[in-house]
Amino acid sequence: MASSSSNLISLKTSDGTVFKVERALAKTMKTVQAIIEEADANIYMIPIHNVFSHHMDMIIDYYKLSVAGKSKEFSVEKLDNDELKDFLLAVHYLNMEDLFEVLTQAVADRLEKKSVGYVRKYFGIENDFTPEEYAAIRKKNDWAFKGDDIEPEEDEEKQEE
Amino acid sequence: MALNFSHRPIFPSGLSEDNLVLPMRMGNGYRVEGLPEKSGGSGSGSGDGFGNGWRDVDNCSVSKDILDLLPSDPFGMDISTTFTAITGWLEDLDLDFDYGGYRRDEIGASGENYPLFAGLNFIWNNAVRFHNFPSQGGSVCIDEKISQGVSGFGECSRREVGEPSCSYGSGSSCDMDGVLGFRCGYKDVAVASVSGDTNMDDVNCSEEDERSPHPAIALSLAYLSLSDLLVVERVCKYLRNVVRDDTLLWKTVHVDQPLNERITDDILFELTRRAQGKLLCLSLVECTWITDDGLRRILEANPTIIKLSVPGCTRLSIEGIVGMLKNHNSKEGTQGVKHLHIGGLYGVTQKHFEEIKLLLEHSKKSDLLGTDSQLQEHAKKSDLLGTDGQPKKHSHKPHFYCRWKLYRPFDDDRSLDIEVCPRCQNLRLIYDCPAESCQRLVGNATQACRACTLCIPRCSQCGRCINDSEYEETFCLELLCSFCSQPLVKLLGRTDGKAGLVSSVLPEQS
Repeated sequence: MASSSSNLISLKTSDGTVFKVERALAKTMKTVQAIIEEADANIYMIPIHNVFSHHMDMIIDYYKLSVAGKSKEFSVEKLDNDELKDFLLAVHYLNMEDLFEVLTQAVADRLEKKSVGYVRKYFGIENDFTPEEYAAIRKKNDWAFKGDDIEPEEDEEKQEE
Repeated sequence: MALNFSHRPIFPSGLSEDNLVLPMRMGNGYRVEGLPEKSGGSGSGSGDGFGNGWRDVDNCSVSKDILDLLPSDPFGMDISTTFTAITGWLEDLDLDFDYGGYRRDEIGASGENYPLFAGLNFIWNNAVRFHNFPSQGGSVCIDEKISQGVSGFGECSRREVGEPSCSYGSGSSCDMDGVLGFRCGYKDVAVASVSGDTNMDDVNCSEEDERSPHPAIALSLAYLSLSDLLVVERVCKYLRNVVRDDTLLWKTVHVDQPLNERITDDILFELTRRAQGKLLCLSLVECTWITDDGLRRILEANPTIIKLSVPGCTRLSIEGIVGMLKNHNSKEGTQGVKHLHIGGLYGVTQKHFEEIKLLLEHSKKSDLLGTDSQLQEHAKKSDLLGTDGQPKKHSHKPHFYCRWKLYRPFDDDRSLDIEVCPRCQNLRLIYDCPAESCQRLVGNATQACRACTLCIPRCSQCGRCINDSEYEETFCLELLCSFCSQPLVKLLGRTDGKAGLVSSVLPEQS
């Protein structure tokens, strides 16, 4: 089955679901586009690793909204932090510029005005500073944190360690 | 108004890049970035509290112990010199390492610094293993692939650093036109990091628990405000290095609430130094501690600045700004400032206005950005230039008065934000009127409701003119129109009007 003459491209997600998407949507995925262009023969089905079916559902929703000129209505508020992070990585893998911007902005919004402890927890990062290094870095940009609520949370986290 | 104008610089502006060992001095209570810190736990009892690590190493007899020889912070601001030093003593240790596995051609937008960053990550990880860290369960090694990929974005285009919004005074999410180029760079590098392999797998990481930062954070750094970036800098070593070393994160610096009340000349200079001379846009909103000298120093160090926005920075003088602009735009090799926002500065005369207009127009006509393709890309994405590389011409959006948005937004395309007031002929910020009745008069220059706030008083909340209508004057001496003051009156009515609200009612004129 040749896909080049058809307007639909078959994409197979990591969980085995096959999506038939419009060629125009596939073109917004630069990774997929590159695979199509580099293939010598017509591609029957393109596997997209790191992308699950629920990601594809949201990608298709976004595409439909953007085609209708309503891309600003696309919201990721219903996603929890882990889902948002995974979705961002999937979109990043597919190299979709517009949606990528939306998602990175969404992640940044969720980190806005959050404490150091929150950011560590959000991304699952452990503090690898020595106490001296941490004290030094705190003093270095202490000017930015004077009088803010950020410090108390940070201190609580340190006390727990 | 603060009376203390003196800010003793922590170090001279012309600091030699070869000088790694700098005196540790206190100035304004802030340390200078890039100063090496002492490793280990000693040296913390000195008067300034910062430790005297380097002085100890210099002045005392050199210890034969490797722990004393290794610097605790090889990633000072002086990257190239530090790298040379690190490779030097690691070679002395007969450490066999090979980071030639990094392939530059895999990285879309990296430059000559990519192998340096990649090598630094590798060397840092190796150096860390020599330290006897107290066991704390923290990660020591960084995921090499991620560090390889993300460190490479040092050469990619950047984002805008600032408060959540690039609009003045707003707290909403950032309007990051400057990010777009960075995002392209991010993708190129991140794809390379996913696809590229590395010899770093041969590195035996610490036996301690290794947790690499989630890759999503590296992708989101471009969208963080200045204060959020400084928070991220404290999260872990990897992110600290990324935030400090990625010049693209610092090509646009936007300082707004609440950091504007605290930032000084020296701190700002240190932050702008992270762009390594390639600062493109500088936006300081009501940064009342910034002086002419401080701003001049930044302009001299960054010939690539094309947008300067200093509204409400009351310590800056208009004469100083005009002088800086003349100096900056006339230098060879500089693109010249093409956009200037000085709303809120006092004493702007017609002469200043004409001079500034002339300088901005002249710089726009000059050769734009030379052959630096990255800067061109960044400026295009920052909405400063059109796709042909020429200054973009937009239709000017109306600017409504609001207590949170007194100044024009950062992404405003005007070359100069202040105008001649149609009523008083003074040079001030001019506001449009959102009232429906006034909207109909927009085309008529003489009758349009468009003037400075001294000529047309406006509601602090919605921006409507309140010349001939009922209004309230709040305790903070703000004016509220009748629409906006109703909820406030009701609230005060419930508390028996104890807030000291003064109401003024003007008779409606027919």
